[in-house]
Amino acid sequence: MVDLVLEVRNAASVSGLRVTAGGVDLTSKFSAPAKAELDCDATSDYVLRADLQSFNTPGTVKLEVSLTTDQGTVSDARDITVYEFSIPSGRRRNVVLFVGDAMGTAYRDAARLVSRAIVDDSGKSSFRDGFFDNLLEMDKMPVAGMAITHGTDSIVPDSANTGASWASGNKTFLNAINVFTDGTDCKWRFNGQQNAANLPFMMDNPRVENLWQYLKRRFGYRTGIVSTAAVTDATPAVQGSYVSFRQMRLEVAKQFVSNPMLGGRPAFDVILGGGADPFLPGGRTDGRNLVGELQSMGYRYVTTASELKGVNFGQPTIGLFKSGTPRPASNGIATATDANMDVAYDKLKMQRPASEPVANLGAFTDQPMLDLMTEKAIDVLSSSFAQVPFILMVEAASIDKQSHPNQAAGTIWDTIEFDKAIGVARAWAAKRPAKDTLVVVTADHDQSMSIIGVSNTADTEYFDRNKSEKISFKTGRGDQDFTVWGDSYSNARAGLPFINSSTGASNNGGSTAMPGTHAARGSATDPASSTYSTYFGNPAYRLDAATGYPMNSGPGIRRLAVGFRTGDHTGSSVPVTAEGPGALLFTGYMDQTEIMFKMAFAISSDTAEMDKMVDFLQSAKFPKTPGK
Amino acid sequence: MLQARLLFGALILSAPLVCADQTTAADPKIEKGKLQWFSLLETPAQVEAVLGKPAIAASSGSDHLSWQFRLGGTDHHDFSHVLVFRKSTSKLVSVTRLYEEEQSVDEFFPPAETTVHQYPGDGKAAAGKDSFGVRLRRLSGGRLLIAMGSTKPGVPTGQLVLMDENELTTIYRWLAEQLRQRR
Repeated sequence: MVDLVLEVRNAASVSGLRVTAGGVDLTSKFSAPAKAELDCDATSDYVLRADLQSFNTPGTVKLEVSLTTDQGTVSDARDITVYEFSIPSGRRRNVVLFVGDAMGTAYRDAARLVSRAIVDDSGKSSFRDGFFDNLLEMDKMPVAGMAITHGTDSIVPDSANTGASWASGNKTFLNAINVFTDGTDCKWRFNGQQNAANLPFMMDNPRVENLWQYLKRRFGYRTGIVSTAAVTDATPAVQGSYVSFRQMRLEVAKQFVSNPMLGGRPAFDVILGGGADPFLPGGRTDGRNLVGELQSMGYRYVTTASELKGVNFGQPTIGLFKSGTPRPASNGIATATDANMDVAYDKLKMQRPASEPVANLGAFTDQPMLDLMTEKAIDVLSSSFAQVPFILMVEAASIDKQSHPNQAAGTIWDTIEFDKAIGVARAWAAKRPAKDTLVVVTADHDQSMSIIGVSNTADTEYFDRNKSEKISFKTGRGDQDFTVWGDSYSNARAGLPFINSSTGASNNGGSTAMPGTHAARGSATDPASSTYSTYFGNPAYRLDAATGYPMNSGPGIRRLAVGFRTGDHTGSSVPVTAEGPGALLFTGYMDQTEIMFKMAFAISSDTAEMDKMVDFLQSAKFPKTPGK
Repeated sequence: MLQARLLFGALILSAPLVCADQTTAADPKIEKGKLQWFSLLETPAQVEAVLGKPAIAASSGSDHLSWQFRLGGTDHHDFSHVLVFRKSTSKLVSVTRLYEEEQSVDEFFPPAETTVHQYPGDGKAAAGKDSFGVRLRRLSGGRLLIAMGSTKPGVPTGQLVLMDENELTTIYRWLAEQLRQRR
């Protein structure tokens, strides 16, 4: 479904509307002309709306509009392409879409080089002569492609408009979730005044339905989202809401519970992640208790990993594992805090490098890991009494959130956590006799991390918070203050200067929030003076048998060295890998919007021939990449 | 040599910018008992001398140009300063200071010079919840200083707006109407 919106500019009056689509008269679907304030100018304008319309005949539909204004008769036409979508009787296809937020190629490479270069007690490494004994779960998927991520208004996108691409198959503008631009955006979008007084102009953008709601509405699919962010963050929000500005958290949470595409029914059967605040009365301007409303509809509510472990059947479930102090933000559209879950590195209680913040889980010491969340989401979605198929999105949010402040350890261990979650879904799908589950792994956008080499910075240097050097540059546009920490030449920025590419200040938190840059050699206080960074050799990690994760300290460790060009997103393409029925669709370069259409095609179409081709590739006799 | 020349240029740019009757600074401050911030008489070049080049410049509506800056401790999704010019005249019409962590702006709103305005909205504010409102102070030169969502001392804001009163009807028609009725 989609909103049809007619904007009529420079008209003192509007009458005589006629709208047809493929010859079918839609005029009665439209509202009466309403005075509007388009383009922030003094002209007289009107808007006419037909909300949530759909087109039922496949093919090219010509949408033709005519009306009369005081200036004369106006007409316009657009071609709309309508694709057929039906699910043959008896076909049941599940989809699990994994989104590593900002997980470009270097992030996957880093996770592999850390988690698959493990040295055992005998000194044998699982990464030798350039080959791995055991690749990442996402590496083992048979089909790979690349997705182009640009938005309508910027080549460097964000998680909102990239999410809209894969969820609804449409491109849109920065910060927008499943809506298009319109003539009242000038009221709020470009002046920084996103607030409750401008909500009427933020809520009127034309909406387009996403695949999650479409499948639930038309075919009864069960739907779910899992994220390590607050569940109203952009990536999970694109599966269940329609807002012009990603920080409209109160509206996003409301639409999760009362979805406009579903006649006010909840968007999801499973919601797992952080960010309880906008679901609680104290966090909302309307005082609604959205958790309570879901519970009254039969949802189970869990808040800890221990409680989640007890979830094992199909009752709809909302699990919110982190909250702040719930209160609305002063802008009246968000909550004062967005409580993302803590990152894997901290949940594992690993010691942070010197330049990264000390973990503080506060009262939230029992947060689940992403693989458990994925396992339980699949348990719930797959065990409905009706045995209906499901579609699930799983996000590793803090690959991105840790990359913004250039916290390499946090970013890499989150990617490893993500890969374990992918392993859960792959194993579940592999056990299905019908082989009816498509697993797709991709990223919404890239960030600027790159693989540099290895470093043998000693633990005493790497973790020493008392050893740092401050460097200041005074410029006409403000001072640039940097701190170089002991780990700056190791896990985060080995051997290369950190280059701040922006002008007056950095593009992430200003110079004070930026990590260390290259210190002058020979400085008496240079923390790197006792270390030796190198590009030669392999990383070497030890496995913590208790957690199954690599350790980042101890004898014999040689850490991966990575660098960051900025603290923000990039416009580079991102990898896509796929496995299961229809996986071959995901080969080659594609626009990110294709991901939605390919998931839909895999659900609705006979993919037997293409699946045989994938089987052939996997069984063909030629030297294969070890570890796959 | 190149470095020295650039540094020299930077020093020139760093000189205080004098506009009309005040010194322009990136953030509002009280000096000698007076609020010092943008006069809204600054040209784009003068703004650039204070804030640098914007991270994003974008056209908006039929006649507006938006300059968006990320300065200081700002979340990567948000901007710290958003300035809007009229494209046709290059007139600076509004400055919005966005605080990632809401903060008190009480010092800029002496009660005797401040009025409070409630957004009429849809009248659906929950019992016990305040409807959206603002504090407003008139400044010289037809400027309005507005604390969004903060209607009384002690309530922090995330959006501090300086706006040419002539532009108020463009963005906040309801607020312009309330001001007109109070005159």
